[in-house]
Amino acid sequence: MTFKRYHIPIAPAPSRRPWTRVNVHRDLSRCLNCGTCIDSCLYGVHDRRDADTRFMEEPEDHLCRVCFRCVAECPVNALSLEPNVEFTEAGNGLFKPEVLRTIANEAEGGRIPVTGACYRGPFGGQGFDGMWTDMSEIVRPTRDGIHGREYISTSVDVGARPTFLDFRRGGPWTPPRELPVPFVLDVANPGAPPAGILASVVKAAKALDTYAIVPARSWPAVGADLQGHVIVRLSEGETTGFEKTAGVEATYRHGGADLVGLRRSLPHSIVSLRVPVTAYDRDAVDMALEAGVDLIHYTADWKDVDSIDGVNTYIATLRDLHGYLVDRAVRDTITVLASGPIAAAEHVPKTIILGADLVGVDLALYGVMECVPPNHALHLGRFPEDFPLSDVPWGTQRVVNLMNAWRDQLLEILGAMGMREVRRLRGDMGRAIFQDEAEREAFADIKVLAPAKEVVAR
Amino acid sequence: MITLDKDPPHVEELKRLLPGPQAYRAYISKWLVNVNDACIDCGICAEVCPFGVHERKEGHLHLSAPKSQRCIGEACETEDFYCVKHCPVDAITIEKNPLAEVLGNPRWTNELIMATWVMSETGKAPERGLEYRIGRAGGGFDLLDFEFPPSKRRFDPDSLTGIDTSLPLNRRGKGAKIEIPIPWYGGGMSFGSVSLQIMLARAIAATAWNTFTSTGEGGYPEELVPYKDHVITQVATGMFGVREETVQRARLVEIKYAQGAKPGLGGHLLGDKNTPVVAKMRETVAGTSLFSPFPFHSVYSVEDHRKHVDWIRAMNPTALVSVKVSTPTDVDMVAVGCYYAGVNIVHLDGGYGGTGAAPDISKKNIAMPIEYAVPKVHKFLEKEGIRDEVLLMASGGIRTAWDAAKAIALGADGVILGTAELIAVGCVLCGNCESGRGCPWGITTTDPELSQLIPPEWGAQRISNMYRAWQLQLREVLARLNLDSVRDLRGRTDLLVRIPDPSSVSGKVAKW
Ligand code: SF4
Ligand code: SF4
Repeated sequence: MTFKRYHIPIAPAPSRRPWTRVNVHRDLSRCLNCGTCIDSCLYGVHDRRDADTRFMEEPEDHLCRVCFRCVAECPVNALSLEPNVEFTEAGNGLFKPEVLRTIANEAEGGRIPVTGACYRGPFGGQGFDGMWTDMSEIVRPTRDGIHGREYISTSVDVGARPTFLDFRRGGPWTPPRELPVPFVLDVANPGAPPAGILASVVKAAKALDTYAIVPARSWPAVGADLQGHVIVRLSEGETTGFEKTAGVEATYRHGGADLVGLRRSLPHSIVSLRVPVTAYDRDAVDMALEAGVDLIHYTADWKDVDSIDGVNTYIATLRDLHGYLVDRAVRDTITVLASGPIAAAEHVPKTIILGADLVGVDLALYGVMECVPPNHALHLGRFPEDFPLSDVPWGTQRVVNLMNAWRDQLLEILGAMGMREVRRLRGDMGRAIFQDEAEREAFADIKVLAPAKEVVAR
Repeated sequence: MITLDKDPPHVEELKRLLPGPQAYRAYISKWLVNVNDACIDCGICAEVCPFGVHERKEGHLHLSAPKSQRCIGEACETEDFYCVKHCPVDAITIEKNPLAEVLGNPRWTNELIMATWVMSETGKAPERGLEYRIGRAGGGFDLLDFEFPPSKRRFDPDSLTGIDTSLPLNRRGKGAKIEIPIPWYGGGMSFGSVSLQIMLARAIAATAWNTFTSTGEGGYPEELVPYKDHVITQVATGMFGVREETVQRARLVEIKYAQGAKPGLGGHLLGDKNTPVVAKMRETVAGTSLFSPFPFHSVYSVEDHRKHVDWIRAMNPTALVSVKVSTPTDVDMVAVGCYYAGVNIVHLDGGYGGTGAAPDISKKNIAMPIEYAVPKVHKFLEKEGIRDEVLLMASGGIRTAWDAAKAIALGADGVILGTAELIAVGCVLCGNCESGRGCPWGITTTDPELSQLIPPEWGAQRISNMYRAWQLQLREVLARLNLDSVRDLRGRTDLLVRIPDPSSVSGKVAKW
């Protein structure tokens, strides 16, 4: 067996509708057409008209990096920047405008977003924002920082790592499958994706060597060469006809779903139990363990994680799920896949720290396809004019790029912690700093002022 | 080689507060004062406005264009001197400047940025209309405030010179005694990440104030040698340009383990900015991306760390040694380790600062904010009984004099500045520092043309003015707390209160 280093093939896949953060406004009644701004702007926003070089062309807003230099250097104050409402109003609670823009940038080139100057966001917050990951200052000799990150493993296992032989599958034990990245692409939530998106995502799953979860309705559209990368989400009552897939997924209903039968009928496939956060209870976990399924797919519909309370519930429930498995001493016999509120690269390590083995990327995929705002399109069951996507290679590349950018950022986090593999991060809550705990400790002796007081004392 | 247009301003001269006007003609202001064509140039507005928005230059027929940046806006409407009311032909309108809306972010709000500009220009905090003490990040310093005892006294900042803001840098029995008159100095920004002009500006300002600035990890340009008594030599993991003589000429040497903006990742200079000059300084090949490795590959334990400190001391026995670390959960242990290794200064760099390129993911998500790290380390060092032998300096998100005071009240001895100084010289926090030719304002760039935009003397003046404004504010805070010295503020968490979140920042926050 030859060793092949895992590599994600990134390539440029430019956005078709780049986000415009600001409108660059030129007051034509003042503009002298002097062209000072052409030299001021390093990014080519301003130029003269091709047809008549005596006049200035409309500024190309989407190139603007909001540096204010042209504004400050214009001799007659003719230039101004205004927030672009289309941008500031885009998205939802989870996919805020900046999150969407970041996704678009990552999908475009597959690179880690890097900016200068300091952090610009809120101090902390709830949900994922109230979590920081740890780092280690002086590290063990195995650690080689950024240069050694090709040696950090992002592989995870899907399926049981049983401590003894298990014959419930009615045959020899199937070893867990190893995925080189802790990502699964999920387009089974909440409806059937349009053909172009489906094809892009499934092809990307193949390129990444992972799985795509697709609804049973979409299954016939998946090409034969791709079937091994697909997990089919079953509708009520469907059980057979999916032998060629990588696996199947049943949705948890209290007292429902013949998981044992499903497990028996597909002994060598992945069998997954999809547990929405709203339906979660420990019975679901018991049922999954009982039947010996490989995966618990813990998920949330976008509506359930659109608010910060929703994300808090999601996180608390995930911690419960992981904790319950640990308490029952069965954590390694089942894999936990978590999807739902995964909107940015930082959510991946945080979700893993909270107890997931791997994450499912769902709505972010629609962001990649420039389906904006992603939730509305899904909610209404329709997509913008230019859908279904016809340029599948473009779509595939965008998904691949996003996943590369996210993997690289995961490597940054692991590198900072001095960790060599993502498997060890799972459930390692000591690796996280939680805002409420940290604040309690740090500010313990500081008086809390009653909310009645005016904003800030002079 | 940069030659200064004139000799660096003399210490006294800089402190005398020369105006440091903005480099460009147009200001980004909170309010926009418009005077329309109906204006008859009567000049009443120039007479009524106490802030100097309207002005008729000596011998001019027309009034000058209004200086919107001085306008206090809405707050003026109820005042007798409101110019709009006085204009006989109703030619004046005042509106919110839409530009201000795209400037800044929850941490560095547009008002904090504009207020820093005012301080750099005038050497004083803005009089009215700009919130210069607190941001809107919804946590940390922004939800902490001082509880001042009630007092009828008016605190005229200029009369508070008796209040001591000085800080001794060496708390150990042996070694050089160095005292800085203000409890802050400049943090490391490497040649390459910022221009030589900026390094010079900072070094001149540090000299004027008898404090320090740091070379960062990009080597020690010859141009800084005249200011060597006020320049810290940084020894970082990449060892770029670290040579015996650079360690020997410094009074203070800083060993950098990690930096807050990219904890655990090491420095990173993108290829575009690695120009031939930078490459020469760093002894590398031009055009390649330069990563500092993380961590020090010679340090795997506290014992190794001690060897590092001894190594510096062997080269320069009189130098004080500072260690810059970021803020993991075990930062308290790290600090104690530093103490036992013999360092004089423990420098905690929290994640929210940083001036160079950093992956966005590392800015918020790795290691804890300085607001949590400082009390943790302070208390731990106290428990160990060694608090008074090391100096604890905090950096990474110190935006204002008020942040500095709060950090000190939380347990730091002083603070270290980075971004605030860049804003003083005109940074707008656009974050384009690393793309292509670098900063469009000539701050964080090595582009020979762009870096000309900042004359070092001007930059020094701006930074110096900001220092002055900060010192006045710090004195005012101390006076209102009935303290005589900044040293008495350290660890006084009893003087702080936590305020409820004034504006929830969940929901839509545009972070530019
Ligand atoms: S603000 Fe900066 S990037 Fe935008 S158009 Fe003006 S000069 Fe160009
Ligand atoms: S590029 Fe923008 S953020 Fe960076 S130093 Fe220049 S003005 Fe500041």
